[in-house]
Amino acid sequence: MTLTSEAGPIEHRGSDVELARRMAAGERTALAEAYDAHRDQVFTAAHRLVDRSAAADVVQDAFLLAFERAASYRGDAPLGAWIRRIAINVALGELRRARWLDRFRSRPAEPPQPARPVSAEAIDLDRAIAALPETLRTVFVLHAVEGYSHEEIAGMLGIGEAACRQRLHRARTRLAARLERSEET
Amino acid sequence: MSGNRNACGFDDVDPSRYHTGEMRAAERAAFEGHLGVCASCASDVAAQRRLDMLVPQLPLYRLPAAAPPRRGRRALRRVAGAGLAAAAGVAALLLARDHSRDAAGLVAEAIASDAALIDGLVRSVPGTPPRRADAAPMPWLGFVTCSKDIVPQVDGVYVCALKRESPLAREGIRAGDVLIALDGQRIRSDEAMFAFLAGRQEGEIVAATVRTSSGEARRIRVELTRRALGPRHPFDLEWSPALVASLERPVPPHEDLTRIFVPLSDTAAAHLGSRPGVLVALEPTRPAEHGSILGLLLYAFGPGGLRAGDVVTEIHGRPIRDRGDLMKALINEKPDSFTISVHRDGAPHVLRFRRGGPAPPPNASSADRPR
Repeated sequence: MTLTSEAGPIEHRGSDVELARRMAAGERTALAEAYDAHRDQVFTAAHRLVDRSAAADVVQDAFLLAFERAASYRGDAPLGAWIRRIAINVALGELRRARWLDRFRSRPAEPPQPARPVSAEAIDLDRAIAALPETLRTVFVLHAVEGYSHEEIAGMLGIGEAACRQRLHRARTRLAARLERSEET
Repeated sequence: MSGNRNACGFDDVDPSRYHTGEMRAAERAAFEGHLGVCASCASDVAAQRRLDMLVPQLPLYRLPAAAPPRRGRRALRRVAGAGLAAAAGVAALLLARDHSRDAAGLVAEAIASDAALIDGLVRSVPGTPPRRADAAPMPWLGFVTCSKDIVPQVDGVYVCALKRESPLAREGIRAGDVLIALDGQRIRSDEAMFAFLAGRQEGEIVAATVRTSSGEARRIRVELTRRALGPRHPFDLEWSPALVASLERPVPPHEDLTRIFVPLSDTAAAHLGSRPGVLVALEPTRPAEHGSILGLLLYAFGPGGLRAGDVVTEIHGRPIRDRGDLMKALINEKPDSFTISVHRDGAPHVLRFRRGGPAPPPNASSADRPR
């Protein structure tokens, strides 16, 4: 699994395992440390799949679940990525549950604040991703941003691998076309 | 694979597999050979390559400090595993971490701005703050006033929220109208109105002049009543446009309401075994000094009252899902006594209050019927 935003040498896993052990022992300060370290990444991952106010709920749920399941963390992925995976599953569940009417929110969503400076092109791409139809966006985010394989995504979304590849292809085509257009203007 | 939009004859190649590195060597070589002669495919590939370069640069977003609560219903989700013993504390901890400054300092600062916050909400007609036991109840015109920072500049008394079915309402007066005279006396301020009413009694009929939103000055006769807002009817008050607008404004981050009361997601509430509600994340460091709406809430702390970790689920029978519900429940219901239902330590509890603080343990009589 390729990780696009998570960095860190293997030595960090030792401290991840220790942090998870403390969480599993019920230490709230350990949860607070994990929360401080990873909440922005978890929010960002959730926000690419669901809207901003739902994403905040997803973050809360994900950390509560991580706290509860900390004993099952094995250290084979960074802790942040593990929590992010929990958040993605919660977010996908949210997408499954969301009714059609939920998509028309009375309050327009303001984009959240970037945590660090970012290029205009990257912001453009982010908006283009957000503008994709949900079926295409979900596959693109899971594959290209979060690094899951087609097989994994097919399992998460309950679709066939062929459908997954097709959606990814369509998403990439649309995004590439939009980037080309914005380059021309 | 079907769906290939290339019209150049390379239909049997799925270009996305090229970009994701899934092509086998021979296929890859053939495709790259094709790119040398097909401008359309080459251009596609270049665009895809640009996309791949940008993806790692996608922004990392900051979790909003006071994320707006979700509206609408979600099915309560059963979370596998036993409930956490300190689940309420965990949720409060997570939410308190979002506040970058020391919590106690924040609350102290916010309590200092309590008056400003309260004045931003409905200020009741005198009679609501704790009164001497022998004071006669103040007669009432049937509406509540606002403070100056949410009401437009008016040369009279702005009808901030009007009780439906009140004598004024029955005369066709609306919330947002402005009272400008009583019994021929020009009334230019809330204080002047209160001073006038202090000298009158329930049941007296007064002549009121009200400027309506169309600019017309209407003269009507109304009977002074006792202050009474129905607890069973949350929409017992018609809200003026100014009040609606003020409550829709986002609460600035330094206001203590947003620190003390934090709406929970349905899942978090279910995780605690609670109905949906608002978590008490912090306890204020000192009580409010007057009988305002937030003061009413802050009076609810202390021995026998609300504690950090409680989830407020109902106020006087009205379900509470977010801070707006908290405010509306107390705007609409200001009886002498009321109940707050909370989820605490894994079980529901009902807390009873009199204006001024928690009530003594309930006896058999129904003491919390409002006036």
